[in-house]
Amino acid sequence: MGRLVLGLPSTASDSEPKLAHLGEASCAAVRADGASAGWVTVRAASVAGVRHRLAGQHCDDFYAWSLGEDLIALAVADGLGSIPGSSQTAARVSRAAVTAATGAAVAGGAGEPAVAMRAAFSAANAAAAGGGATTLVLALVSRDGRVEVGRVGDSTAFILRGGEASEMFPAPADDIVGTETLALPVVDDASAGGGAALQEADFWEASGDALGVGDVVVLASDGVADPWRDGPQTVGPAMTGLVTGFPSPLDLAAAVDFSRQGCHDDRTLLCVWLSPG
Amino acid sequence: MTIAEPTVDAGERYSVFPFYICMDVSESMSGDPISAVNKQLPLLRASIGGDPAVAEVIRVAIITFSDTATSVLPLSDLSMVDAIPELAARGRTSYAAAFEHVHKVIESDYLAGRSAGERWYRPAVILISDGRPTDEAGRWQAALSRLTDPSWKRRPNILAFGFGDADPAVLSAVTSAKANRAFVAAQGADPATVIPELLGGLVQSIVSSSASVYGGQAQLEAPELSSMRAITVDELD
Repeated sequence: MGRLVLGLPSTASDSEPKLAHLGEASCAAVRADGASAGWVTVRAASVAGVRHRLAGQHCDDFYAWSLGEDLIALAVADGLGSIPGSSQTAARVSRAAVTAATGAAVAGGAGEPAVAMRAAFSAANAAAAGGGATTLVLALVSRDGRVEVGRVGDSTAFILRGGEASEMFPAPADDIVGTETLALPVVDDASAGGGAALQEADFWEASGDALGVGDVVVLASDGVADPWRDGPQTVGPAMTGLVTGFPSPLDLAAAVDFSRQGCHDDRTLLCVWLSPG
Repeated sequence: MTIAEPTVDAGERYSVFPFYICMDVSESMSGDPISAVNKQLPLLRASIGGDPAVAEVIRVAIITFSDTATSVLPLSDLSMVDAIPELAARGRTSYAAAFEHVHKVIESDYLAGRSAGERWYRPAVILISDGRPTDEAGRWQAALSRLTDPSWKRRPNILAFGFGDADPAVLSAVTSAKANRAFVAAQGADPATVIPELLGGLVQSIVSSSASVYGGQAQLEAPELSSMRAITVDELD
């Protein structure tokens, strides 16, 4: 089956990657998951970008979720490839964030998602210490449909409702593309020397919404989010239609691996639905 | 000569990382130096244009300057360029002409690219010179100030490379902003040796810069050049 082409095709994305001397499942270029837990359903896909694949390198994106009694925490992290060790940082940060969020929800009650959000970012920032840097976007979805999202960096969240996608954070400025990405770890001036976690103001952007049956929250690394915004006639409708159609994990991964000129970054989508009833 | 690029649907945008190579072609470049440049520039096209993962994002323009400045290669996808024009040496070394011209073409290229569906990373200017500016200092400095004006959203990052009679203090002034770098060859270094390494390093710089777009921190990567030393901006003081 040919690769889905969205807009001008990428010649590079059809090139055969060079076979690395060593390979293993943990370095898979394509990862996909899908599962339900009665009140909630998850689909995830992560594909290594063209540049990484052609160079025999692994994906710097990572996703994770943690299912609590009345709350699920989901995270997407995008390790900064320009800083060594960032793929491991993305993994540590994602796991720490979702685990801390559901742990805090159990301890403090699911009625206080702000407590879970604060616990998640505090744990994520601590987990980011020790080398590397990563973006993080986190969603906390409660059984009653409340959605709280937070992020550091340019990974983002969309909400799909009635066949339309809207971004839950402000879109980037429309002029020259910024050349510096906010990332974890974030260290305040007072603790810069020791690298201690921040104690004061929130260092993440926050947003929220209420999720109805059929609505979808989609967490995305910039490898998907940028072409999603830049392709209002191609990538946007394709991703919205795909996710709204409740894809299988493999279908989601195949679609996320679309071909588009100049779009060679790692790509991750993590989608969550409330189940009917 | 370039080949027309395919049209883009309305509203669609594609990322572009523009590089403007500003090459000094003053009279002092005649002979071996300009021959070396003409021998090496086609390698730029082969290396960058031949790698789809790089060529899909990188756009390159070549501007020459002496008494005046001229765009000898408009901002192009090098995979669609069939030949790099041959350069000829003549005239003096007007940095003002170079800075004024590059300001003008960045602005017009940005506006044209934007209407054609391009989303730009901050442009990069690669200044290569073998001499000191022959303009009055006030004129080239005014042109530089306009090019690097923080209030101008399209202001480029700059890498400057000097050899021959190039003045390290001038190159430092050209690259005094935070993201910029300047390099100078040792006094007396043979341009025919320096130029191939410089242009080879430039290819690596552009390839690395294109890769950085996908690393979360798009940046202008300076090349590693054994025959040149980096000038720190502190030398200005």
